[in-house]
Amino acid sequence: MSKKVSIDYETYTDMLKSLNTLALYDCIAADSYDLDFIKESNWLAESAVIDYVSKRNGTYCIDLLFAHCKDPLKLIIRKITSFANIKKAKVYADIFKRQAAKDQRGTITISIEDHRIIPYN
Amino acid sequence: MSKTKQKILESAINMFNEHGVANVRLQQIADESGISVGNLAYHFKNKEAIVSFVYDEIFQEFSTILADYLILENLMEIDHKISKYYLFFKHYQFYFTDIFEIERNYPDIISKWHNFINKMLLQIKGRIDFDIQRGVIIPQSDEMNDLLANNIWMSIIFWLPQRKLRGLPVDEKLFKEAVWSQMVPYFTQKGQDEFVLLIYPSLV
Repeated sequence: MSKKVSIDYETYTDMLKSLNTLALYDCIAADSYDLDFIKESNWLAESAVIDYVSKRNGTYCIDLLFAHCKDPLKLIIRKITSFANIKKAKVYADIFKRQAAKDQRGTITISIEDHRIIPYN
Repeated sequence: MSKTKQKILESAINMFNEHGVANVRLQQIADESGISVGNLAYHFKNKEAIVSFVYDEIFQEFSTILADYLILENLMEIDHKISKYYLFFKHYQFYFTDIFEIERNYPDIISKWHNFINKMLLQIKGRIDFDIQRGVIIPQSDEMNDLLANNIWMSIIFWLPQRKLRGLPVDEKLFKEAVWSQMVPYFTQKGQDEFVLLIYPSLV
């Protein structure tokens, strides 16, 4: 028999609010900032992608690192998936990288001048 | 659930309603069910087991009532829910008369009971928020909305015991009137129109 799950009052209140919002979905006007997440993620289209396979908890995890080609502060790393076999993980990491990268053939070069790194005196 | 168990459950509920949990003996439940005490003991080893089983049924039914939320957007849903609460609290009248007995001797049951009762109140608050957003209830401060939700909740919970205390008759129509009368003063024009169209004909 499945164990019954109980949720706390705060979560229950939030759930009711969400149901209210869902029911009134057509009546509530959206705000322009609701779609900001699209704008905020735009830079990912201009990023270089590096795949990274590492062994964690007995499986081979694939991480993809997204680095903006001009702005060194824009950098994120995301765990994609994991496989039990290292060869499979490497093959899939390569496929994921090529799918995610804008420059699929890898012909774009990055110049150090683009990063405007100020030398330390 | 076996037929005998179902029979014992119904008899136990009747006896609890009539005499109170503390005053009912296994012999009385067995007599009411039309079975022997030995047969009763085969299904439930003691009275605590019966009380626990009865409350499991109560919580199961309460969960079913609470599970329906915003099935209908209009006031009909509130009306249906009031009907369900009426039948529920009428069927399990000992919930109130034996609250202190249960609190003393069955702490696990009382904590579950608190949980359901509080969620019921939160659901009423949620529904008021929804009807404010829908333009049916006049928007007020959060404190006033909480007060309204509390008043509706109190009407649902305590209407039956107060009628019993005063020796007055109980029926569903009177119960509904009492609960709706808490809400009606807070309706907007749209709310009043909806109330007159959907709910009022069933109250007169």
